[in-house]
Amino acid sequence: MRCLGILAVALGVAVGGGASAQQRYDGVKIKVLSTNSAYDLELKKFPHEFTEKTGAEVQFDLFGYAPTVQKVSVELLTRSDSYDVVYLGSEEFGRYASGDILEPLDNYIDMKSADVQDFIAPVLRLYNKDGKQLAFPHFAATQLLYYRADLFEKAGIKQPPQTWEEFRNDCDLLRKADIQCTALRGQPDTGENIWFWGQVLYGFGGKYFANEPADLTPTVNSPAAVEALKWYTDVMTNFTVPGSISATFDDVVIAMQQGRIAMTVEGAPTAGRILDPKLSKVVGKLGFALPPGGVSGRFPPFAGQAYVIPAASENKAAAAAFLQWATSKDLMKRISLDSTFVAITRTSLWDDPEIRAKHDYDYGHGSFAATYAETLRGAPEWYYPRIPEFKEIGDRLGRALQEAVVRSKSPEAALDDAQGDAVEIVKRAGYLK
Amino acid sequence: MASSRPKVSSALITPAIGFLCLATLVPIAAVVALSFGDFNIAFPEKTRFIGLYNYARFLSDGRFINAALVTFILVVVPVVLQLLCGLALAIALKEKLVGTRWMRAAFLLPSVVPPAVGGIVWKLFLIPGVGGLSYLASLFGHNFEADLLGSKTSALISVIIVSIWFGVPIVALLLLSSLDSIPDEIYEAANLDGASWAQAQWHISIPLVLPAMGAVAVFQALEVLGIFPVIFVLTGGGPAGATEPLNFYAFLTAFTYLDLDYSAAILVAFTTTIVGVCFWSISQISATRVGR
Repeated sequence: MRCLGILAVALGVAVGGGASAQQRYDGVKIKVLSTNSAYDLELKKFPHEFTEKTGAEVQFDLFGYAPTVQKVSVELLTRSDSYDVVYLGSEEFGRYASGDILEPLDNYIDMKSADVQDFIAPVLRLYNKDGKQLAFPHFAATQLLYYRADLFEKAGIKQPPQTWEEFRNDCDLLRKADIQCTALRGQPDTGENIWFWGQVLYGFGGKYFANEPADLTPTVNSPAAVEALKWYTDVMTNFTVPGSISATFDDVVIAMQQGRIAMTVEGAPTAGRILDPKLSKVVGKLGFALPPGGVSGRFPPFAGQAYVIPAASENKAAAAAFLQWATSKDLMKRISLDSTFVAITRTSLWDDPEIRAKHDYDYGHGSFAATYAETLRGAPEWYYPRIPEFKEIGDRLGRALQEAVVRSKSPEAALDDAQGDAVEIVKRAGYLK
Repeated sequence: MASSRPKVSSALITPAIGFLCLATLVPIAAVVALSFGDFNIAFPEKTRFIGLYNYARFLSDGRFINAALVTFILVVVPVVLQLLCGLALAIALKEKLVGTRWMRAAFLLPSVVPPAVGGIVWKLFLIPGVGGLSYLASLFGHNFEADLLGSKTSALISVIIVSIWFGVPIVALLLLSSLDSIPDEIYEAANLDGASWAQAQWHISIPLVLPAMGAVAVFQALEVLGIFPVIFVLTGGGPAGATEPLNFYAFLTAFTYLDLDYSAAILVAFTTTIVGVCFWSISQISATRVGR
């Protein structure tokens, strides 16, 4: 029966070039599990349009980020059929990419169609495993350097920092001018301080593993990593606003939005919130630049957020149609124009005049859209290692960073302990003997 | 007729008892069994028996050892301080001073606040620079911007203070009922013998409520472990594990890292220790009472 269903859908793909708009799913109810992000909240306003188009009804269950990630892990790993469409961050992709947990979209959608090719290629590739596309991304994330040109001028800083050392030295100049330098993510979590940390680690010449994927011996306590942590500890201790030690991206965004700091390296998608005209005190004052780099180069963070179809779903064809609709160019454009959402995953939309008019902030110190696009171009797809156990290793390393910042351990000791635990984790997973 | 009554009663309550056993014993047995297995939630069919391996992992897990220490601190320190503050409050309330009637109701407020809500309120209060504490400091002309949740010691002290805030009212109420049961004649006799108010409290009130304090201590030791939601909201176990007790660590191990068998081992060790200590304490209290 299942084979017949797939055959029918494959025929549909061959004839119609994807789950066609004409295909009806009357009586089907698609249940969606996702976060309460700007994109999902906006998407929730339009399910009637999908129902009119396909006959299928949609039910959204949206939660905060952390509870969603936990629910997703339980739903996917227990192979539950409770949801037909599920949120998945690319940092967690490795956890679910194997073991027939996710349904390949190739079974339902023509991946060579112009519509699919319009996705930003590296973002799409984040969710590709062995040539099979397992998700459609609705959110492309990287980080930018946001800086206050007016405060830089006051402190005598001529241009945004190009390296982490310059970042630290500029902080020193800002402090001498009695200006609070920065806020950075301190919450120990793969999605928080480790999201920022990767670019510093890589910039200083470090890496997480000896030679991923061939040799997964952890190298989180290499000399380069220790140097990177010394830099991080110095900046977090001496130049961040109080509260940074446990700050999430939300805290950093608010600090920048409220004009409490002179610069930060934070998510490009948060620009809409930082510059929300109803709340922001920095509209017209910000400059945008690539995140700093180090001796090894510049490694902007790179991640995506996407919708996947659990292999256990009983409405896979309808769910595939939903994915196409929910990440479609038209809908993404409307959502972006109506909200602060700017993490666009469609190449064509970055050239759209209306999108540019709404989101291309440019106050004479760099164009936001151009910087975002350039950062995405330089961001490595391997920013997050793609092994299922990286979440646990990342969280453990995040804790080591915090231990060094609160000075409960020296940077060397904190990373040595993290290395020991990381080795245990990869051994338990069977990568090392 | 009379002899059949107990049988009918037994038959009537059997389903309830059976359901209770199912609802409590089966999950406990499942957790214990899980702690001896190698279980991967993605491949449950590959589960195998690994004996005490998960328990042996405790020895090399620095985070577990840290969490055990934090648990000990978060039980002992708040309970001792709750008892001291609660006793002082109970003695004050017993004196029937002006306003003590409405104060009894007011003091109960923290106990009826849901822990997660209490955690959010305290988090807002402690936000550096813009929270309630900074505002209070500004009223006295001070610019207070310290991040109390940002250092290990101050974060732990903050959690202990919140725990005391939650627990003192109920402790005071329980001790007050114990104090109320002391006959007034004893105080009157002490007064006639020339004892001061303080001497009466030291020699009469405190010795007579001590057994009740023992029972309250056991009760509160279990209660303070329920501060989990506060920690979740207020500190997330941080910074650097400073406020991460064993139950919080077990939660993360299970639901964030999906290491369910190890989490089960942590919970079994944790629960066994708590139950053991409680039984020992209760037996000591009972022995004291019998001896008396």
